Amino acid sequence: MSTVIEIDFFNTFLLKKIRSANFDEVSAFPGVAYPGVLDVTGIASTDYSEKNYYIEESRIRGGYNNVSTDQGARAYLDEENPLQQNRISSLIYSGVYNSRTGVNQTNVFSVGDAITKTIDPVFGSIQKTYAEETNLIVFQENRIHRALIDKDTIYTTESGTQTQAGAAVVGQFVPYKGEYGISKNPESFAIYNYRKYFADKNRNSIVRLSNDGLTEISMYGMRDYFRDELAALSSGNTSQTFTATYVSGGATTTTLVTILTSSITSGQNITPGMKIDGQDGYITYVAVNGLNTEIYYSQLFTSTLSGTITFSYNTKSKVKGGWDIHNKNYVVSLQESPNQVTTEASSFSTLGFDEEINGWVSFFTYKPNEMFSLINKFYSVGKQASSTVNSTELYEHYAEPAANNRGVFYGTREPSNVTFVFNPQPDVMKNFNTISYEGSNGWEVVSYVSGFTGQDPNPDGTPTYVQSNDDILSIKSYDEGSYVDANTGYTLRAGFDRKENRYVANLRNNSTAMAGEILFGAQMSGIKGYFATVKIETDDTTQLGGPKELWAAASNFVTSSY
Amino acid sequence: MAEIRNTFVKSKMNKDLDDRLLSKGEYRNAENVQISRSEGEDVGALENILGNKFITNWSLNTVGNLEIIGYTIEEKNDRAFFMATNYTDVSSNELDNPAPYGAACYILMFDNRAVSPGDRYKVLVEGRFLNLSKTHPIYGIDLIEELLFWTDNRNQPRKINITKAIASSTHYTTEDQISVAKYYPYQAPYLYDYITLENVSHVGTFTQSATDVTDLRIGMELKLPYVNNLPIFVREIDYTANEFVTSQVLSPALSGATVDCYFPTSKNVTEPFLTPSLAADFVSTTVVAPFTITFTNPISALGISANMKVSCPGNINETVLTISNPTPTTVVVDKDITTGVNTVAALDKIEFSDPNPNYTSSWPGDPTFLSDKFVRFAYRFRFEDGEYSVISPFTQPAFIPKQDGYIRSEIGNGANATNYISQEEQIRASTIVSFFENKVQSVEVKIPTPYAVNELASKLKISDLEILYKESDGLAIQVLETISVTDSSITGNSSTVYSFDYQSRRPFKTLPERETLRVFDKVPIRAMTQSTSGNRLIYGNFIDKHTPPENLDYSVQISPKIRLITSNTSFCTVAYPTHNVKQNRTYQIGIVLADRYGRQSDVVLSSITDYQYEVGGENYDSSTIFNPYKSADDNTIPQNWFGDSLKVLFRSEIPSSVSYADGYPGLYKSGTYTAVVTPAVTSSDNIVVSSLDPNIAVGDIIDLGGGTVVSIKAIDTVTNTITVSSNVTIAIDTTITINGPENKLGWYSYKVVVKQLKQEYYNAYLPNILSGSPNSISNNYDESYTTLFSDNINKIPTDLAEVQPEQTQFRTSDTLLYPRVAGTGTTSYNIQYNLGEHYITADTIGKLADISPSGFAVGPPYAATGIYNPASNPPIARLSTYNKQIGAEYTATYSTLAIAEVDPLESRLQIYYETSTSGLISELNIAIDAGSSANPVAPDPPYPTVPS
Repeated sequence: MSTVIEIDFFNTFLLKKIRSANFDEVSAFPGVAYPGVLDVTGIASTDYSEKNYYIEESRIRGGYNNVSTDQGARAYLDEENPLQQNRISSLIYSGVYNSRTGVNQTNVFSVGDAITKTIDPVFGSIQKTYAEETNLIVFQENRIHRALIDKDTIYTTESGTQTQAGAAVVGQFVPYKGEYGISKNPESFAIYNYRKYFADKNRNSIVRLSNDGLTEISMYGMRDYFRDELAALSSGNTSQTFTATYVSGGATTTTLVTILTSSITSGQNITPGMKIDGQDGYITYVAVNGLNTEIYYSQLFTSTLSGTITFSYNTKSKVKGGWDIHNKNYVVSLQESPNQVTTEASSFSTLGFDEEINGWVSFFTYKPNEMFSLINKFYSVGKQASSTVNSTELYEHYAEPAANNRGVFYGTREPSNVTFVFNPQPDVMKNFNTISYEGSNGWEVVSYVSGFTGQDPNPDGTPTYVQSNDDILSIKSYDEGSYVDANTGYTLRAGFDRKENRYVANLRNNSTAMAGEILFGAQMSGIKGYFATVKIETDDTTQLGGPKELWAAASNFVTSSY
Repeated sequence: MAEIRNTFVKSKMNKDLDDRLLSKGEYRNAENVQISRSEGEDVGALENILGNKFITNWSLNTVGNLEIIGYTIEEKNDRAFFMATNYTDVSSNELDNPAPYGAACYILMFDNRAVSPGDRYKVLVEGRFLNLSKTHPIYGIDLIEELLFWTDNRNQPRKINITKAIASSTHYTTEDQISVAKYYPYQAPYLYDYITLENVSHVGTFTQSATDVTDLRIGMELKLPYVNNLPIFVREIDYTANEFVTSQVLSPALSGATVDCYFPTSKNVTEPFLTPSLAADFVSTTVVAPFTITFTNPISALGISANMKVSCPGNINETVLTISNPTPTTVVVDKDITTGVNTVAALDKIEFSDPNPNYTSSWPGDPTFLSDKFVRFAYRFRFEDGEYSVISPFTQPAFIPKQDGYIRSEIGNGANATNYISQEEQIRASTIVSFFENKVQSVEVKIPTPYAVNELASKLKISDLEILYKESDGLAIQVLETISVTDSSITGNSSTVYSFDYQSRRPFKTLPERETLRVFDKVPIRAMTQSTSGNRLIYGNFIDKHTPPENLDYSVQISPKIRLITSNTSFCTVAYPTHNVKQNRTYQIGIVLADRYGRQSDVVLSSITDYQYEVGGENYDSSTIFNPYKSADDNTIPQNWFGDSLKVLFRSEIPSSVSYADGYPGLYKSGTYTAVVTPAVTSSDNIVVSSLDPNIAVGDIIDLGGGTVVSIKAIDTVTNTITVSSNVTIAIDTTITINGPENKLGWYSYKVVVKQLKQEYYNAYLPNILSGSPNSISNNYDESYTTLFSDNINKIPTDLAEVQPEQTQFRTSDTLLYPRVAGTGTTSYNIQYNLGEHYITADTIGKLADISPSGFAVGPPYAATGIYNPASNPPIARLSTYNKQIGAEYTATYSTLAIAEVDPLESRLQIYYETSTSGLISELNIAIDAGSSANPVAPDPPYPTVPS
């Protein structure tokens, strides 16, 4: 197998003298009105070829220093290293764009120009760049640099620096102090004014880059939390699987298999790209046909399908970041898997950092696909938990006109709660007897537990040691706890009752017996401990989605009599 | 009782401190609360947080598993843009499975200022060509004014114009339209054209008839097998009878044939007549009208035709004197050519000139502009957002010498011989070839386009076509014309060729020098990050280029240009009729591969082989080849040799994969193919189509419309049968679309580049070369003499680097001369010298009297037989001929023109130059696959075995 192609490459022109049969020694220009070719009449019946000649000329008139033909318009080289390279720590830039003058060179990356700039690759790959004014901030996995754009820094004799316009498009790289990078989580990046926030998973940190340099904001009360949670996020792909029941097709001579639509694992959808376990290739097309779903595959099945078919796809953990313009919070959401897999609370944690108080305010029960702020408003993209097709939807947060939507995210209402600690005189054992709060109706106490008392062998015989502490029966809200006494007909409160604009309740012990304990549980009043951890939450009854305020919570206690 | 009271005014969680140490105001955990912020004047109080409300799902709520994988905002207009897909690439590297037919990929917009839902929530772009995947979330999205750029580290960087996308959600439908790297026009313009004659039949010996010869012109070449080893041209045309005369008797005779007739589009348009092509001895003429001239029979079979011009230099002084009623021995002209200003006498040579088929009396251009230029043409596209494509390859020089490069022979043997000085004499006297100028004045630049010309705007988003021009001695590339796609020449052109009629107008704009260096754009293959700063796009963590093949299996040959009739020809015999590959040079041929967007490999050379390869009786060398001067053994006679060309024999296909390194992109696959169903399919799973694209594969999807989708489960390339997953019914001649995997960045086109290191050279046109001395031939194997004057003094320079004050004889600067033409022995004419690599040198240069060769007479006047104009004591050169007899002896009847080629310097820059040859790899591979095998040539004497 072969073919021949002719090359249009010519670097000279023929100049001939021809003598023909009929015109030997007379005019013998080729006998046809066409450039440079003789016709039949020019063929010599006698051999005149000795008198014919040609030369190769390439200059106008053959004159000295006259214009000569060239070899070609453009040149190529045989490169020393022609192989593809992954320039993980390099930048490359285009030509300029100027709509006013109509110049658009954004596609110009001329091979003839030096348009790349490289940072030390020892700090890992570049994961994010952010242009700020005329500087470019370059986030590598393990270091952050600032590059000057269209200017450069020169070092003066006074040991200072001076910035000046320079020929270099990307100027000198200036590192920020501190060994932080963005790891491989550019999705955590968020910006507000001159502050940039991002996660550095490799260092268990959430970091702020501001005028004062790099600050590890995860250390503001949440160092331990982020250490655990960031480290727990998987670094590679996680294979997700689900199943469906085979109906027809799936032979090794076909690329089509039909499954029963209703048999697909709840919450899952079959979409192109997924694999069928045990098969090479991937799904190229999916069509619902009556009660069944037809699945087209990219190649013939390597083994016959039947029974239960398992589908798989890969996901990655993410650390999503976004700026909440409404509350001026940096919101970060740690997600082991995307919404496509699950929206369950255990699959993510979303929380916000407030610059004003330099602390982390609250967790949120929404699992955003993306978050961003746009002209006064904070938006996120998410998925309704009830969605059967796992579609994607845009939501606006803090949409106040919407009635009673507090705590309602992606169509699902979740309670608000706060967990805090009563720890007066922490070195004194106390009995906590009551609880009260100042605020709105609708709060309930979910838990009120003491600190752990100590470790004892498990009384149930399981060969482990268990910790014991006191806790209480939950305290319902003012409304939820109300009931009508069947005997008196009066409305009574089993939970919080309101007195002088305070909601009060006593604590009913619900502790299990510890080793050697005689009085426990409801036999006791209140709970005992050095401190108590309380979780107060909005209830499921009182003005659902309405505003609930909690100013303060209090508890009466007495020193324990041992 | 004591009371402990906690507020939440510190508004912060603390999961670090021990419970005993946690201060009041802090709390261990909170969900859905806000404290430091409040919807009212309640900062400091803990309150439940406002939820969120549904805005839109872009009516895509039926698209399962759809996920936003990237976004950007435009605060200026309160808009946000999103990339969404339901596709997850499960290949091992998460790149190898491009989004299949069923994948959903979108670019969405949320416009908070718009009122109507249709404007607030828009799908801007959709289609699998976006090739988005959840494995590659997009973190680099930027808006520059109305241009939205993004990179996902999966595809090449992309861009859309949001204004255009908002106006129409179908504005962007292909990768070509959204890539930052723009479509690369890989084909050079070409400089030939053809017309097609229908129903061509034999009428007479040389005469053919056709249905319509309206567009036929004399000089056009018929695409027919050569006769007598020569091509066939149109000599005469009878437009009334729809008949034409060919230059040769066609063999076999044609009957009802369809014949393509080719012609160059580089034309001279201002000369009404061509250079005389025939001559005859004048006998007599009638002195009253009709003026019948009688002459000796000029030719045996064909002769003078009507509308030719008759002339006799110096004797016929009429501007135009056309003839009629030709016979082999007589013509009628409109004037008496022997009286008045005309003085033709018996035995004068009268000449006959064909009318110029391209003559345009009202041609508006500059007839002299190109006469001293070697110009090349190229083009580039301007896209709708203002980007310019890389410049296409250039043509070869649009240069055809005046007189088509023929030195006219002597005409002065008749009665008035002294009135005419032959051209060789003129060259001898002037040392230049006065007519070696460009006769081309008008060039119809034919620009091939990937789609119909009037579809360029819709398919590639092209706004303008720019015609470019480069002179051989200029660094700059200049713009001849910018043609808008709204121009009628484009909107009305449904062919795939745009013709630009260049009329020798000066360019109106010069491109920056960097455009010359912009051989291609190294737009990243993939990039992880993107930012915009300083009005530029900046990409980071990127893949820089494609890995080229380590080498390719090809061999090279230099041989006479491929004849027109042969398939796979470049048509260079038509487009470049006098062009040639310079002899006595070494050429290295390389191949450059390019993807559809112009990213190019470096120069790929051939694999090393032990043998030449043979195919079709021709032997081919490896990538480096020496082109020697033709030797007498080559049997190349100038009258039917029209120049050589380089040939490349591809012995195996451009590979779709390589194993020596990563990063090889494979070959381009559009992913969408069409086929015409024939015959009709009725409730069957077998579909027979007229032809099958080789990229169609099992698993590809055919969407027949109406909800009928099938996939291919078997392909029979012999019968062109596709077996699909279900029975279908399709009408005959239905065009079906087959959707398979795309590979948009695979190698798409190739081009050939050539390295030749020797620089510009000179021909020294010498008045004579005297073999031996002016009075002796005893030393004619040792030395020759020639006179140096005019240009030749510079072409064969004297070495004045180290000379004495009184020195009168000088050496040359190691200049090698290759004699090409000179007299020989005592003959009266000059001959071709083909001495191979044998050269001569000019050892001594000095005045004739100073060198004083044997036979020199001091005079006065000075005399030396065989030395040109000895009386003027000219500078002469003593030539060492190294055992060769070069030039005419002193006893020769006439001194004749001698031409020696001066060996040029050799460059040390290893540069390959772009040729005008390029093509699609897919077409090349098909041709290779269909071609015969190339076989290694057995050494002579043969080794015991030859590898297969």
